[in-house]
Amino acid sequence: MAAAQLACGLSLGMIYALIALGYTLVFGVLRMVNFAHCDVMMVGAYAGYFASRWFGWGLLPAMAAAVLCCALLGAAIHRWVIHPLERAGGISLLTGALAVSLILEYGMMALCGAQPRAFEGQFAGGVLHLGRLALPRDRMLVLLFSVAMFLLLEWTLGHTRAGRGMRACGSDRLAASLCGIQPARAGRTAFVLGSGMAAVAGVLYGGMFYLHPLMGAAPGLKAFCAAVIGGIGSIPGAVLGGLTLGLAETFATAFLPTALRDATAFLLLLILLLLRPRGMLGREERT
Amino acid sequence: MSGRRMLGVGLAAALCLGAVWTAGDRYAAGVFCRLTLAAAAAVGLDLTLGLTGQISLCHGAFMGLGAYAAGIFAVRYGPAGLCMGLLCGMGLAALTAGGTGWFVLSLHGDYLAVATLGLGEVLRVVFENLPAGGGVRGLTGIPRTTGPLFCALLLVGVLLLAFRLKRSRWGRFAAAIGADERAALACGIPAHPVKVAAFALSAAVTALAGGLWAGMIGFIAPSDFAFTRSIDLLAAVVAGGPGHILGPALAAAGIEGLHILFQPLGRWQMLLYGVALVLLLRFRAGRRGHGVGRAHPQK
Repeated sequence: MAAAQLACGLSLGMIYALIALGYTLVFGVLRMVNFAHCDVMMVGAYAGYFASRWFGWGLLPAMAAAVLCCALLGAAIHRWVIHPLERAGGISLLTGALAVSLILEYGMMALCGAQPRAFEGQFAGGVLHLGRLALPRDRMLVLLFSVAMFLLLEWTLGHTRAGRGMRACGSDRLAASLCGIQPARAGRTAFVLGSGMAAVAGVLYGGMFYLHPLMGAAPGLKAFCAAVIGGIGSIPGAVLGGLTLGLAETFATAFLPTALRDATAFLLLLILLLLRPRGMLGREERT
Repeated sequence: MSGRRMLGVGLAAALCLGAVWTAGDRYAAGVFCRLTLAAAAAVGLDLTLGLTGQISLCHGAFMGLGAYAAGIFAVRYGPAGLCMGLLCGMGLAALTAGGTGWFVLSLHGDYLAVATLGLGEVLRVVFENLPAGGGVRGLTGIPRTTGPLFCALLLVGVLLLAFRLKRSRWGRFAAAIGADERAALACGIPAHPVKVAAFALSAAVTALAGGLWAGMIGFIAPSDFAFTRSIDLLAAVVAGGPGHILGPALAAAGIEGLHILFQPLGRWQMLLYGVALVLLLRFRAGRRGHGVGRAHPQK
């Protein structure tokens, strides 16, 4: 019983972690909460769905199509909404992201209808046999992709020119621009990268559950909590936060009344913000 | 000063006239009530977002708190219960906001946004599981006692209160905190208590508007007071100009009006709303950078 709960909680936590990575990346560079992230994830799920439906593509090509789609979408959002609003301050940026979220949700609803859809074939279901262990295939895929994305992001931020630019802008915008780094460009890179990762999460999440224009809202909010719990802006923090949240939620469902399940994430968040406002792995901000 | 007073009297008279004019027609009265109550709720949010610059993403839930308190009392005790419920809702909202605010308001910028977001979601779960609240399907059969005149008077009262507060010593404290908290502290302004008080008061005003909402529509559901409601209020304050009081009230009425106007468009409604919001924000940002409530002041 406890072992099954543990496995379930881990895989749930890894999805949250995968989504949380996108939040934390954009926050780390632009210092804004990208409320549209979960809806970019939804668009990614739909892109993957149509790629597999119309062209009969398998998991990897469909996912690549979704990533391309979402990367373009991310660039567009940054170009037309986020970048023009950067001067106007935090609350305008936040409201702008919320507006984008509405546009994506209801635009998708107007285009594709509100009925839920489900992936077919190799995306969903299936059992993976490892020796005597039988593991659900989609959950293992989530685990695999999350780890891959985490490593990819760490490598990008640590070892590429664009990644170093993003980190520099995150720690001090003015100093970075004095060193010849364009903050606008770093912001766009972060948006494109984060949106691409949202597409990966979207295809996997859509495979585990179902597709709906509002599908991003619930996991998006929780993944965001995960990012904050782990310390927003910190990449390992996002993974740790996601896992903590997934486990807490699974065990809360097992041992507490079900009504409390959805509140668990937010109660955990409130408690943690009070005890450690910068999150588990967050650093104290220089002032 | 006298011009300002004349504007105020004119506005109050126009509101009361509007109330009397729409009172005969049930649909018009409903629209009028929705506009005025949305405006009152936005003024409530402006008291914390505009004056002290503290962002809140849970004011929709505070509105729900007022609505559920008023609704439950009214269902049980009839129209007289509604008044009791209104007071009760205001008290509850002020207590909730003050209690959590005491801890949460020491956070800044985005962290505060997240904490209030969490509070709003917790409150929504509470609404869904209230034994007397009818669960997800909502609470029906609330006696419809609030009319347009009531709503108009409430809005006038709230506006008056907000303007008086803004010009009071306390309001200047709040504005100083909103402009620069550290500088305000250095001048000896007790920043934390003022922020908590502003948050509690703003929650109470929004809850009052929510209570009248329940008494006007006669039916409430948790989804009425979910995150989207908080976004509407936030958008109204940001678009109307944080701290201007009249601006957010007008913007809130405009946004509610857009919702009513776009209703026949079905699912295109929210899409158009989102596009309009982006255009409005860009227009405002292009004109001048309003620095109120900057999450991270540039070094």
